[in-house]
Amino acid sequence: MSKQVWPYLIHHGGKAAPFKSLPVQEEMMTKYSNLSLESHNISVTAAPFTSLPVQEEMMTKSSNLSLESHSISMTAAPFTSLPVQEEMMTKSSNLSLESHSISMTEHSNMPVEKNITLERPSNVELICQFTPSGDLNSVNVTWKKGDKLLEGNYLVNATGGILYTQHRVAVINSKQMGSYSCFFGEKKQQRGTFNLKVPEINGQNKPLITYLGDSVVLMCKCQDCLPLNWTWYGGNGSVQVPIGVPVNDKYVISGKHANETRLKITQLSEDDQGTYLCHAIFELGESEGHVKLVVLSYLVPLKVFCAIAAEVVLLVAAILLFEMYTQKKKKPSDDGKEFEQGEQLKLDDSNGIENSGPRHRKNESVGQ
Amino acid sequence: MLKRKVQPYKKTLDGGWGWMVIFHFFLVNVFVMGMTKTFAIFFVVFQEEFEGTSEQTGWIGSIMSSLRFFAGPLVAVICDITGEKTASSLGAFLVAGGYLISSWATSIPFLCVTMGFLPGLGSAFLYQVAAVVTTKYFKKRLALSTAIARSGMGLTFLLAPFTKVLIDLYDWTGALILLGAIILHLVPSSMLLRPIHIKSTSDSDIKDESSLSPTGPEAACGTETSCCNEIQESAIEDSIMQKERRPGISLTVSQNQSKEFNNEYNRNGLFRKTNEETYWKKTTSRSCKQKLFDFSLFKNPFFYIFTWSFVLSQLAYFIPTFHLVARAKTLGINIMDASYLVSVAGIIETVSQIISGWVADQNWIKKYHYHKSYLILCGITNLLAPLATTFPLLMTYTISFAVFSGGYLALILPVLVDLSGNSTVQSFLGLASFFAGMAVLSGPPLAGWLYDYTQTYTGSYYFSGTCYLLSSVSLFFIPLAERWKNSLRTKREDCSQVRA
Repeated sequence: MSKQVWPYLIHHGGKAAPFKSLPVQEEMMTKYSNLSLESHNISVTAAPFTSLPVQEEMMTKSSNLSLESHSISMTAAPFTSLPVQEEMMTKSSNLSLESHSISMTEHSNMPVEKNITLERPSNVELICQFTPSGDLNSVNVTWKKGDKLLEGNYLVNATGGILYTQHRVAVINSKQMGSYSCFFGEKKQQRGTFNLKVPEINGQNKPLITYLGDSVVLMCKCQDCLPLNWTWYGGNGSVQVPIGVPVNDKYVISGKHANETRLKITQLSEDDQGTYLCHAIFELGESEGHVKLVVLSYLVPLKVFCAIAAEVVLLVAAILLFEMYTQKKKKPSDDGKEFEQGEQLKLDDSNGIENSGPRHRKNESVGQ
Repeated sequence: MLKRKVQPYKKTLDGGWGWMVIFHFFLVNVFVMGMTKTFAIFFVVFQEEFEGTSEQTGWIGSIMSSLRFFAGPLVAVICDITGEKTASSLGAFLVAGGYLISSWATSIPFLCVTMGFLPGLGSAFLYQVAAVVTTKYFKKRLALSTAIARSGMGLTFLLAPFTKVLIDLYDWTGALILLGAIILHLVPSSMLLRPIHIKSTSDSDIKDESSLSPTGPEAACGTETSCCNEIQESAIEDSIMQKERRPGISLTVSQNQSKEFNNEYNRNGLFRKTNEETYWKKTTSRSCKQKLFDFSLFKNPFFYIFTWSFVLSQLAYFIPTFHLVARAKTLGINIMDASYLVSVAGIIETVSQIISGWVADQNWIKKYHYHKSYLILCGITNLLAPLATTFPLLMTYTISFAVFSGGYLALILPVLVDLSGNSTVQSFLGLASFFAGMAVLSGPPLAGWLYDYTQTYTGSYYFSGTCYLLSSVSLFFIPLAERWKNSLRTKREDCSQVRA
C-alpha cells in the first residue's frame, strides 16, 4: 500500500517519509482510494496541535476511511504535542475526510484563496498556517463563514514559530457550502479563504450554428463528477423555462454516461435561438453550464455563394470579351500569323517552302 | 462554332503570356494543396457529425489525394479530346460541384464520393493540365517558373484559419458551399490557358541541351507517338523538317484540337485539305481514336526510370512531413514550437524551390544530376533524422530536409520534360502519376503501421531515407538508356533509308 502512496511524494521531490519534506510552495494533491490515510501528524482529537508540514499545501483525500484517534477526550488542552510518528485515527461518521491547507506569512499582500470542489457530503478540514514576524502568542485567530463569525470548533496550535489553525466542517448539504476564511491578527489582518464549491459543468464555449429545419444536439459535460440529475432550461434573457417537462418529439433528453447530458432539438425554428442552460443537481447544490444556439436561414450562406458565383461569371465574361477583342484586333492586321481551321499553315521561314510543293503532295497523298 | 485561332510562335515563349499560365498554376497549387490541408479541419467536423471512426473518415482524404494522381491517364485522354482549357474548367467544376453537393451529405460513404472522388478527379484535371501547359510555354525557364508556381503551396497556411472562420460563422454546410464558390474562381483562371502552337525553325532545337532523348527518325519509322496530343511541337516538327522529304508539310491547326501528323510513311491520308475540313477531321479523328492511350510509354526506358524515382520519392516525402509534429511531441516539445517547425519548413521549402529552379535553369549541368543529388541528400538527411532529439537538432533536420526536398520538388517537372522526348508530356505525366497514386494511397497507412509496429517514429525516418536513396538509383541509369536509344535511332535511320 505504501508503495502506491509514496511514489507521488517521491516524484515531487520528497522522501518517502510521510509528509516530511514536500516541495516548498507546491500544491500537491494525493488521491487515494480505498487506502488508509496515514496521517501521522494529524490527530483529530482534542489535542489541537498537529504539526503539519511546513509551508506545504497538501490535500489528502481518502474515501471509505475512518480517521481514528486513540484519544477521545475533547478537552482543549492547547499545547499538547502528539508524537509525530504515531498513527492516530479517529472514528467518525462514514464520511470521507478531506484536508486542505493554506500557508501565509505576515507580509503577504495577496489574499490567499483556495478553491475546493466537493461533490458528495464529506468532512472537510481547513487548515491555515501563519508565520508571524513577531510574537506568536499575541496573534488573534478567527474564522468566518462568509461574513458570519464562527464560534468554537476550531483549534489553534503554535509550533516552531508557525501558528496553525484548523477548522473542521461536516458538509452535508448546500448550507455548509460557501467560503470560509481564517483571520490572523487584529490590526493588520491576514486572511486566507477556502471556497467550497460544487463541480463545474462544461457547456460549449462557441455558439452552435444550425439552420432552419435541422436538428441539433446540445451537450453538457462534467469532467470528474457524477451529478444526481440533469435538467435543461431554455429561454431568452431572464425567463428560464424548463425544457422537456411536457415530453414531446421536439425535445429529447438523453445521455450516454452519467457525467454528460444531451438535449436533442428537432425542427429548429427562429424561436429556438438563444442560450440554453443545463443544470446539474448534486447533493451539495447545483451547477450549470451554458450552450448558445444560433439558428440561421439557408439564405445566409446562399447569398454569399451567389455573390461569389456572380463575380466568377463576371470574370469569365471579361476574359471572353478580352479574347474576342484581341482576336478582332489581330485579324485584319496580320494575315500571316493567323490560321483558321482547315487552312494551310505555311512554313514560311527558313526552309522557304513554296505552295506548289504541298499541293503536289496533296494530290499524291489523296491518290494513295 | 467559334472560329478558333492560334498564334504560332517560333520558339517557346519563356515569358509573356506564359506568366499568366504560371499565375493559373499558382492558383491551382494554392487550392489543390489547400483542399488537402483544410480537409484535416473537416475531418474533425465530419467525425463528430456523422460519428464515424477515424479510419472511415480518413478514407475521404485518402481518396481525394490519391485520385489526384490516379486519374492521370484519364486526364491525358480527355485533354486530347477536348483540349486544355475545357479540361481545366471541367476540373474546376468537378471540385466546386463536389464541395457543393457535400454540403448535403448525410453519411460518410456519401462524403467519400462527393468530397473524395469528385474533388480528387477535379484536382487531377486542374493540376496536370496546368503542369503540361506550363511545359509548353516555358523551356529555358521551366524550372524557375514551375518553382514560382509551386510556391503557391506556401500560401495554403492561410486557408486553414480561413476555413475555421467559415465553419464558425456558417457551420460546415455553409463553409462547404462557400469554399465551393471560391474554388469556382479556377474557371476564369483556366481560361487563361491559351493554347500555343510552337513551330520550330531549325534543327538546332533538336540539339537543345535540355532534351535527352533523340527524336525525329524514330517518329519517321513508325513509333507509336500519339498523334492526337498537343505534343511538344518542336520535337515533331523537327522530325518533319529534318527529313526534308516533305518540305512542304503543312499542318492544319485548330485551337483545341491540334492534330499533329505522324510521319509514318504508311499514314499519308492526313495532309492538307484546303476546303474539306470535315473529311480531314474525320480522317484525323479516326486515326486519332486509335491512339488515345499512348502505350509506347511502356517501351520507353526513360518512363520506367522516371516513374520509379517519382513513386519512391512521393512515398518518402510524405512520411517525414506527416510525422514531424507527432515526433516533436514525443520528444517533449510543446505544440507551439512544433507548429513553428512546420511553418519554418514550409517557408524554407518554398524559397529552396525557387533557388533550385533558377540554378537548374542555368543549365550548367543536366537537370537530372541536380535531381539525383537532391534525392540522395534527402535520403541521408532522413537516415540521420533519428539523431535529432532536441529542439535545435530537430530544427536543423527540418531546415535541411526542407532545403533538399524543395530542391528536388522544383525539378520534377523539368526532368520529366527532359526525359519524355517523343511521347507527349501529358501522357507521360499521366501514366507516371497513376503509379505515384499508389504510393500516395499507401503512404498514410504504411506510416501508421510503421509507427504501431516499432512504437517509435525512427522507423519511419529510416524507411523514408532508404526510399529516397532508392529513388535516386534509377536516375543513374539515364546515360545507359540514352546510349540504348541512340543505338536504336541509328538502327531506325538505316531502316528509314532503306524504305526511302
